[in-house]
Amino acid sequence: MKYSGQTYALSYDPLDQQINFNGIFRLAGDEEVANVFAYLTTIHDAVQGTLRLSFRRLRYINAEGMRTLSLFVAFARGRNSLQLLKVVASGVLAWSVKLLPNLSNLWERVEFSIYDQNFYESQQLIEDTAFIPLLRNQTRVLWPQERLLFQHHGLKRGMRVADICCGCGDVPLLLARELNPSFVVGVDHSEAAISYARTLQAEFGVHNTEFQRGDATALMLDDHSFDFVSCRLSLQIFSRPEQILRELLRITRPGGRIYVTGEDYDLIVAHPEAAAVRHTYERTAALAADLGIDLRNGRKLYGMLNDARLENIRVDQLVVDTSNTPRDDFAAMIEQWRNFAAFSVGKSLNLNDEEHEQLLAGYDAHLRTIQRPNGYTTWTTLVCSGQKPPST
Amino acid sequence: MEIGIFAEADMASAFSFGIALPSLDLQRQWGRCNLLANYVAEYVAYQFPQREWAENLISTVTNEFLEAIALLAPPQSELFIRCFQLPTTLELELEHSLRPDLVTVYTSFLAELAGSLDEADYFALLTSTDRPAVAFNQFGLAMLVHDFSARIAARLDPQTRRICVRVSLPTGEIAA
Ligand SMILES: C[S@@+](CC[C@H](N)C(=O)[O-])C[C@H]1O[C@@H](n2cnc3c(N)ncnc32)[C@H](O)[C@@H]1O
Repeated sequence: MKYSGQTYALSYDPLDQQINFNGIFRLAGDEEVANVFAYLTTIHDAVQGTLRLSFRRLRYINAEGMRTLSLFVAFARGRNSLQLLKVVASGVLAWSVKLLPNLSNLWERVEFSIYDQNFYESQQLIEDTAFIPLLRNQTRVLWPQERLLFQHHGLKRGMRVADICCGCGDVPLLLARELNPSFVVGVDHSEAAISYARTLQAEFGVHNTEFQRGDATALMLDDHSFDFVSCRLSLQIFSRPEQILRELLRITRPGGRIYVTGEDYDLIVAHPEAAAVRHTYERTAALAADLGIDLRNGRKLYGMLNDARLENIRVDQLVVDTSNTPRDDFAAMIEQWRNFAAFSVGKSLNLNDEEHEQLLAGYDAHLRTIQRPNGYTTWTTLVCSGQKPPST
Repeated sequence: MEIGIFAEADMASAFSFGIALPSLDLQRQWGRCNLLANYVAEYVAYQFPQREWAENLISTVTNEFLEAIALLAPPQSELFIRCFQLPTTLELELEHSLRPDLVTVYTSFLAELAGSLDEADYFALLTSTDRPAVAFNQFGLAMLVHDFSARIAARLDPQTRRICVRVSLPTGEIAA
């Protein structure tokens, strides 16, 4: 069941017993208020238990919109049939954080929550400024090869490109600078990362790029509006990556391509000190799993794209090693990994001193391998893309 | 007549923004309140590090005033919008004429807002089943004071019935 106004759409999802508010809900007059109210109350009367009102994708509301919601709460209170009315706001939309809590004062069964505070386990760690140098170092070693892979996977001059979970923005900016797309948008949920991206954009002097703070599971981007949509090294942090994939699909035009990359810690090899290095990455993957991060998700990407009915799927391994990458750059990245694993992750999992020391020692072994003139080591990521069927 | 305290414009403001238009534009096509609010917000929020947050706030505040003005202003009158920054606030200024029958209700409502808004009054407006009997969105303006920590000041020239309303938003709110 749907109700649309000029600038907004309300839709009901019976699976979640949830009414989704999308767009700009600035209501104009009595008639519109009455229509929306009738829509809401009709759904209300068909629901038992908990009804959710989700404002995750509602960009704006006006006073009449708020008053309509308050009338609806009064109606529900009068009917007294719901157990709970859950009001779900988004932490990136100022209005929703400031206005919606007022509804809880109108009826004790209204429960207000902000869905994207602590919405994945590792959020505090990943959305921190301290994480940015790690991403920058990764990009430094990946870009020379990934630049070519982007082209090989279908990114062409003049395309409209979206990079979802873009982190600190370096990759969208490099794309814009070097591969001549017509427009690139980078979206990330981290305030720190987006602010960094904007500074970097000014430094790069790139104009056809925009950054948005937003949520990959509820993007404020139009359907079918991009030719090429990427999501790099990010699906591993989500417990339900297919939710993100659904959004990537939605914003891709029919015939456009979706490009995702992932990790595989089993593919990190080193010599000498093979055993110490292997043990370290197994340990890191296990710790990450405790935080809901899957550091072996790369091998699952093919199946995910296939399940999503993408066509012409292409997979590549991007192998960064000590022969194709400057050793100092490789080492700088591993040092960031070491600190992130031992200090950020370690601290949040309360590792004891012994475990902490072991982890540090393992990364130090890896660093020694890299610095040895005869040492050899790899970091492999999986690059996978598919085409959205032209007919959808 | 003066309500609240007006701060002077600061030369050091990171930007200064001004735009003039006939009130009639908003009255003919009410959807323009939304367009204009979003435009002002996009322009003004540009230099804030937390741009989305700032934009969302500024658009919400501006929109409520534009909707009010669409109802309060006589059709053949000019509306000026200005915006600038002070060290601790963002100042939005709206200057326009008032319909003769609304001068008293509007100014006394603004005076109420500029004083201290009662919690009970706020919730009475939020939950009122009818649109306000007087012809402007009182709840919208109350919302800005109650939920966005906006401070309001106004200057009225009783002769010309032109009013200049100043909305001050604490920078702390914008960089929340
Ligand atoms: C491991 S980083 C990868 C960043 C970037 N793609 C890169 O490779 O440099 C994962 C990113 O996903 C972002 N993120 C996490 N959850 C998100 C969400 N729901 N919506 C948008 N971004 C999200 C994090 O803020 C972080 O920047």
